[in-house]
Amino acid sequence: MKKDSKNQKISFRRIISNNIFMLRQIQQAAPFLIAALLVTEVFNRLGWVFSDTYLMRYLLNGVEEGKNFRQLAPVLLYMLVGMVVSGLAFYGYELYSRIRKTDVERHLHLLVYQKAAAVELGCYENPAFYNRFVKAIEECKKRAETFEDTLRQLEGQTISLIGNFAMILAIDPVTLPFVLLPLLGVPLTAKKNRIRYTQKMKQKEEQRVEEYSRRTFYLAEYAKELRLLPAPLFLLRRFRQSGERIIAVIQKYGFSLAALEYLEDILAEVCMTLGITAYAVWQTLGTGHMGYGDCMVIINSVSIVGYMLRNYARHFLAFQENALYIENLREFLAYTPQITGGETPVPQTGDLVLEDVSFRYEGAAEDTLRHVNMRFGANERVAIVGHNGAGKTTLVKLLLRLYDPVGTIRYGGVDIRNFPLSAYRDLFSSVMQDYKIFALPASENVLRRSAKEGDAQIVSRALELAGLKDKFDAYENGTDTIMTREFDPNGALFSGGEQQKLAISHVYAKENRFVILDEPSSALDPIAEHDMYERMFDACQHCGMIFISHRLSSAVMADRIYLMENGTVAESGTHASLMAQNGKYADLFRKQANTYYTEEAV
Amino acid sequence: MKTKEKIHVLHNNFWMLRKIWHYTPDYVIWMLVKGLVVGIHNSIDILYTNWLFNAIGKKAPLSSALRPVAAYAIYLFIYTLFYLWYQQIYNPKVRERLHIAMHSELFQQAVRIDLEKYDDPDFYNDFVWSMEQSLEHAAGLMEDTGMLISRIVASITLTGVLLQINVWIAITVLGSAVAVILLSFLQNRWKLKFQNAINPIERKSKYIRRVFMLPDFAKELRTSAVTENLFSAYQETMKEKRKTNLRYGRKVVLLEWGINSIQVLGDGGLMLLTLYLLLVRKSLGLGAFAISVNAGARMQWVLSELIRRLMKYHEHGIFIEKIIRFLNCEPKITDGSLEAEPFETLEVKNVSFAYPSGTKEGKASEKKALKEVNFTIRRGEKIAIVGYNGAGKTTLTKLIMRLYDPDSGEICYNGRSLKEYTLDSLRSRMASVFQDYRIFAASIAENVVGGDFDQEQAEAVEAALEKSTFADKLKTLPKGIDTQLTREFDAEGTQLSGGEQQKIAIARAFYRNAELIILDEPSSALDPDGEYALNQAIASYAEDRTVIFISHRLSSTRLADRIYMFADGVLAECGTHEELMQANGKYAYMFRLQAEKYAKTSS
Repeated sequence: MKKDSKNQKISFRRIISNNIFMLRQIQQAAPFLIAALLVTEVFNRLGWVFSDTYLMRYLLNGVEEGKNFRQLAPVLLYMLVGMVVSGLAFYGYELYSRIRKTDVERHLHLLVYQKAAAVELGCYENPAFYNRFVKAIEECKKRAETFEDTLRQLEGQTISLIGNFAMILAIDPVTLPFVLLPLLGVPLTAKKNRIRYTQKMKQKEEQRVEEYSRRTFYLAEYAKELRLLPAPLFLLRRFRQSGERIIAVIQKYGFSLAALEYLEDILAEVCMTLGITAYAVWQTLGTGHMGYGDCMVIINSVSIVGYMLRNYARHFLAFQENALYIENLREFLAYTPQITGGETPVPQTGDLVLEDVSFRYEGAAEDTLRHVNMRFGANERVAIVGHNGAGKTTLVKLLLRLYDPVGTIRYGGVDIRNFPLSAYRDLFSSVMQDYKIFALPASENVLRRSAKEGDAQIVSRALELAGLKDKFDAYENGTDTIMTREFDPNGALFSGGEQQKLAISHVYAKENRFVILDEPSSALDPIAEHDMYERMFDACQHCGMIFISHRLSSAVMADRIYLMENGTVAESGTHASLMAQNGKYADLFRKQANTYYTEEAV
Repeated sequence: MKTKEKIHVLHNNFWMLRKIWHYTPDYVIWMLVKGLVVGIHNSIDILYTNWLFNAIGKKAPLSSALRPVAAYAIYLFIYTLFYLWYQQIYNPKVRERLHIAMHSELFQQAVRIDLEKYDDPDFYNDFVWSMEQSLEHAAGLMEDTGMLISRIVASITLTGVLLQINVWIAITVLGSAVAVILLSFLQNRWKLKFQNAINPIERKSKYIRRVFMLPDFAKELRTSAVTENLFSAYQETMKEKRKTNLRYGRKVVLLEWGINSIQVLGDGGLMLLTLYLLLVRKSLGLGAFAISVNAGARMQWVLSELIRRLMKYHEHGIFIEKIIRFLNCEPKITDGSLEAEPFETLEVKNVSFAYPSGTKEGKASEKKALKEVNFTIRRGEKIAIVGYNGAGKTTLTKLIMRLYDPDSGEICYNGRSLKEYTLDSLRSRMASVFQDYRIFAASIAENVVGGDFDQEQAEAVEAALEKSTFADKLKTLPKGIDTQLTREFDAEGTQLSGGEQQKIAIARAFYRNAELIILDEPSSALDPDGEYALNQAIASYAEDRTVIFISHRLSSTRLADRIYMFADGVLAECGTHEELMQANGKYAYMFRLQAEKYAKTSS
């Protein structure tokens, strides 16, 4: 907890500058929003101050002075008409701000999304950075709203405060000390907040346990297992224990919380409000210094001022809290991506060559790749095989320049760091092990770029090659069908194998220099796997193909095979040469082949 | 239709109140007390103001004018004490007690219902909902009932106080309150329409946010131009949001103006009226004037709160219906009376099965998962079940474990239908590892035992882990079998790799020491070496046990005593590896396709 509060320290200057930063962003997206907000709030609050305080006093004092109904009523009527009419202007603002706020939201989100797409992949793996990034994305809209809201509240409260303060001074400055009474409660509030925070944190831990138990009992993925376990209710025990601990936490802190709040309430409601009432009554009936109107208004004004003063601190805290979140946003937006491109035009063709490449993930204890030398020819089909954790996927990520390694990777003889990043990546089509389907129309999932003239044909050919044509023909909207049920209740739900095929279809929809496939058949059954490789080899006749596979049967077809082990290339060559070499590859291959190898099969 | 629904709402809410009475009777009592106290509190304030200002207006002596102030102070001391005790101490505690009691019942029911129910999206949604929000609605019902009582008490006492002062004042106050409430209804209808229109848009925009935020998508965003599609989708979404805001915003905002104007006019009118009564008729005291300053607002608030709470009953009723449906759901798969003896034979006779229509699996296939399947397995046999994805292999194992019952035909264990045995005894004779095995956030020992762990079981647990080749890893864990798995509960929990988790799941099967072992693609998470080691482990454990082994890789099938080849839910071929290769049918084709490349070159 101590660490927490330390992290949350932020200088006063930074608070101001962060909130100004947010103000600027809002100004950019909606230039008149803030001005309109400030102006409307002035009128709104002045209206309330006049009707609740000044008008009331005027009427009551008038009554006491013996003014008649005809003298007092018109003032009241003017006020009413004024409020209804000015209300209309206020609601004009409401409508305007609703629209403009969506502009602010869009502006901020686009800023953040563009940045998110530009930073390097390593940022996602750095927990501190990623945390900030998530907060920036999740909070930016809310923070703009909080900023507007706090600003408005602060302005409005200041107006009310000044109005009522002036009234108190005009009637009887002696009552001022009463206003300060609730301020005595501020340290109490601070203490209460601390206790409440501790209580919440302690409860949260336990609630996580409860939440997990709950999930275990309702998620379909646990259902089979739960029915087959001999005594699944042992999971319930934890749930009960956590519940009991929560009760103990409430018991432990609840008393102090209630006691502190009691003091606060008594200070405000009894000591201040009733204290001032007693004083005003004495001034009215005992000494006769006050009239009815003064008496009633001062009781009212003092409680308003007291309330506002207590709340002032809250608004400043809100600005401070806001500044903390805006800090995340600013730092995130200010981050300069580490992986950037150069100016050299990308050659039409060429080999990909790794020269003495080593790589270590940030925070890792040892290198994932060690002094690797490899070559991927412009028209070669290259297989990369090896155990889990040998560094195969990492290698692919380096080729795509998702990370920069130590050593050099060259394309057409030029260090790839010299090419413009997006032009370089455009050389490749890749299907990752953990491929993702987007909740976009199927055609956009295939193309993965904005649509152009003549795309329909490209899409349908790609889907045919991927073996999904029949599947989409059956859908009413064909390739315009939205994938997943993420937000379209009629979206297409695909099985794992079908999803993988869709991910693969992207390769067929693009002019590639290189195709990269990381375990592209993991969700396919053997027949589909077989077909996929046949077609892929066919499609990659005029480009380079780099694929990772556990099943060595597919490696047989490759022009070159790299066997990786512990981050190094252990063996390389064609299938025949590696078998002849009789090393690790041959051993691995035989292990897999053994079970198949029978006389009948030959 | 509508009246029918209403009856349900009442019935459901009563059902829930009775349930809560059963779990935590004191909660019900204190809720009633609190409702009364808070309700009266709302009027005491008004009585006090009236008393005080009448005294001032009448120029009463100072001491008697201060009496209401003193009395009110004493009252506040006591009331605040009660209120804070209830709010800060009693209520959070009793909520948690209710939570524990209620969820214990829900959990037990969750384990009891048929697996089939999980495939029924309607039921499943209700079920998930019951689990996630039942407390919120149970406690919500209590709070709303308490508040409803307090609002009723408050509105009655408030009206009473106003009536006593002046009939016209009471009428003005009630009239403007009702008008405001009616307009708010209208506004709420529009707000709801707005919400309904904006929800799908928000979902889209949240999805896009997730795509940019989650690491899962990060690689794809960098390796293709899909960001173009996402940005244009986002722009489109925001355009729609803006339009929707404008379309509905106009009405909502205009009504808001109407409501506020009525409020202002009502309050002003009331003031005018009291002024008139005070100055012209001289029939009112100063107290009435003081009350009229905020009586209108107070009445509106109390009445609209009252209605808001009442409306909540409808919402609660709908949701409680789901809980009732869930708790009343009786499993179709129920115990028989026989205790299952050690395994001898398993006969599958003419079994057909289709997932219920309307379910995910039912829709996807729109046909039977299994059609007239027949076979017999005897003790000690090693059976391989092979076929393409979706051929019905996994379904078959679910039927054998009696997670579902077949639509027609029957499955017999030792010559008698599975239905004649008690579920526990039957399932204890079988051990299974599923494709999608799960590890629980508990100790390794508890995961292996599948229930509470007792020190006496330690030896057996360790033996099972040894056999599943987890022993090496176990040695590196300082707490041994007491090691907590997953980080769900404590940050120090151990995260196992996919392969290691699978070994735990397999040890769970071994620990049961069952005669019949069912393995569904057990090596899917492993690389070739790991697969090899695991197959060895299973082979040595299985020695004289009966094994049903499912795979779509045919590498391990040659060792089987018999192979069942499934295609489209039908048992297409059956025999030993040699027989099936000779028959030259589907199995042979599939095998050759997989073996081809290995065979060609290693010969």
